[in-house]
Amino acid sequence: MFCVKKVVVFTALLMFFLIPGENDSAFAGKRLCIGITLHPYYSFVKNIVEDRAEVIPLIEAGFNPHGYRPRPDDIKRVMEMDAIVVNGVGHDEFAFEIIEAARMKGKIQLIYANKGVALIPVAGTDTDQRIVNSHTFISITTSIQQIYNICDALMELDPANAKYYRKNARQYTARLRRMKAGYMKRFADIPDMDFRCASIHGAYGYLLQEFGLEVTAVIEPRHGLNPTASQLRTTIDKIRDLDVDVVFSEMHFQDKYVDTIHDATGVRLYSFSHITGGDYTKEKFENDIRINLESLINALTETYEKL
Amino acid sequence: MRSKEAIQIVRPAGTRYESMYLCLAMLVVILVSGTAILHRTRSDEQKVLLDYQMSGYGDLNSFEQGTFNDLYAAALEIDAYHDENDEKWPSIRELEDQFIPPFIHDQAWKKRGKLLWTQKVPNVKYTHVAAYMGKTSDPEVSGSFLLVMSHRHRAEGDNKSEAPDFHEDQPFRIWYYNHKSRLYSKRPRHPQRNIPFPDSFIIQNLIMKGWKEVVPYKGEDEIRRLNGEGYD
Repeated sequence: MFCVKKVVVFTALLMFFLIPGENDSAFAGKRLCIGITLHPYYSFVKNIVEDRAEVIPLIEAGFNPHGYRPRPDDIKRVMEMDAIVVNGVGHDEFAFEIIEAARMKGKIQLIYANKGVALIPVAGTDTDQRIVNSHTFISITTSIQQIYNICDALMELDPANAKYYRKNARQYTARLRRMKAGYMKRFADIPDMDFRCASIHGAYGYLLQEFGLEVTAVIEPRHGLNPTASQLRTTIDKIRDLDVDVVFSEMHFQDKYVDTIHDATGVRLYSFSHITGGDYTKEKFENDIRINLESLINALTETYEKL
Repeated sequence: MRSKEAIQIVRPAGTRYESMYLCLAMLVVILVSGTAILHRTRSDEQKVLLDYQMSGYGDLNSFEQGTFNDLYAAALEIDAYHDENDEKWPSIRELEDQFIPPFIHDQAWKKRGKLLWTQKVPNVKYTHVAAYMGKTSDPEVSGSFLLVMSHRHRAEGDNKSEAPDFHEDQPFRIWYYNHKSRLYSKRPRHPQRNIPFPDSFIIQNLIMKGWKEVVPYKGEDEIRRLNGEGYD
């Protein structure tokens, strides 16, 4: 009788420890190691997890994600990761190559930041062409959507820290919204005007959209391709026809095309950050978005002053 | 006298087979490339929309797209607020105080047709529902929007018949109304300025009142397209 009791107790204990609960994940109890592909995702994830998980960039700082070729170190790094946060709709195709090369396909959890984000087409392209704007990370509104998507995935992977992650995500998004509201107030001080702008890259559609502004023309509508002489000619003619007030250029981007446009049309140039260069930091997204919003406010203020 | 000429016929090596080998090689190249192209081509299958739905990607103008995107992000915030505040829904005032667009009256709000937002929290059994309607002040710039949030909570005696109408697989839906839209086969009764706040948020009722559900083109749709997968 005593033996039977012992066996029952032993079996119950064994089942308690071996059978996973409803909320347990494969990573329960383990400090997560999360990979990221682009700078904004480093900031998003770091702000969500703080020091309760490790955040590692997939490629080292200083490399351009456009057309990046995997290196042996990347393969080594990816093998230590439990999950990778990817944009998934552009910019980080290299991540899939690295995962493939490391034979980690199916073994590593992919967190698609844009999974539930409502996408828009690149300005100036026909919707039938379906050129999706993948720069959802250069906007506060779509970044908030991504932060929640990432947070939801991390909460599932790490249920023990789920509440902590959710609280951090809400605080972070509230801070971002406050920042946007501050700029909106400054924006509201600028009297109404018909502001027309072009950009040398289709990256800023989401950013301008959240301020109720439209990009009239995009000089380089396809990623990584510079305009040909005839395309440049067409754009100059288009800008003249549309009477564009300013052109938004990119920081650290070749300005020769924009200079040509400036010489030919007389429009003013302002720079935006693509938020994919420099060091990976927790503050990177906020710092660079602030640079962009300052640039936007300057463009609007100076355009008004010249009227 | 002509010297006797030595005639020697030089035949090209493999004259009979050279053209044949060349043709065969070309055929192999064409076949292999053709198969590879077919194999690698991405499916450009479009997301199928029902009669009462419209695309947030292609059927809205850029101002409406901005409102839709803000509303989409706001729905996530409202959902989180509901979870964390004893299942209460935030009022329009609270959303404004938290700087949440499109409720806040900022410059973007002005440019996008000055939508006037009101809220309704109907008393629906066992399902927490809240609706936020933004009526346009300028129908030339934007149509009106309706955000319907629905949370189903486990409760005894749950009225299951209501569940499909609210589509519990989604915590929220966004609807659009524009009296002049080309999307209607039959124009709705109410002109834009007089559009009433719906009294019921059951899908069939909203369809009958002329509302169209805005379906976003999401990152997961694009990822599926890039991977060459079809839509369910």
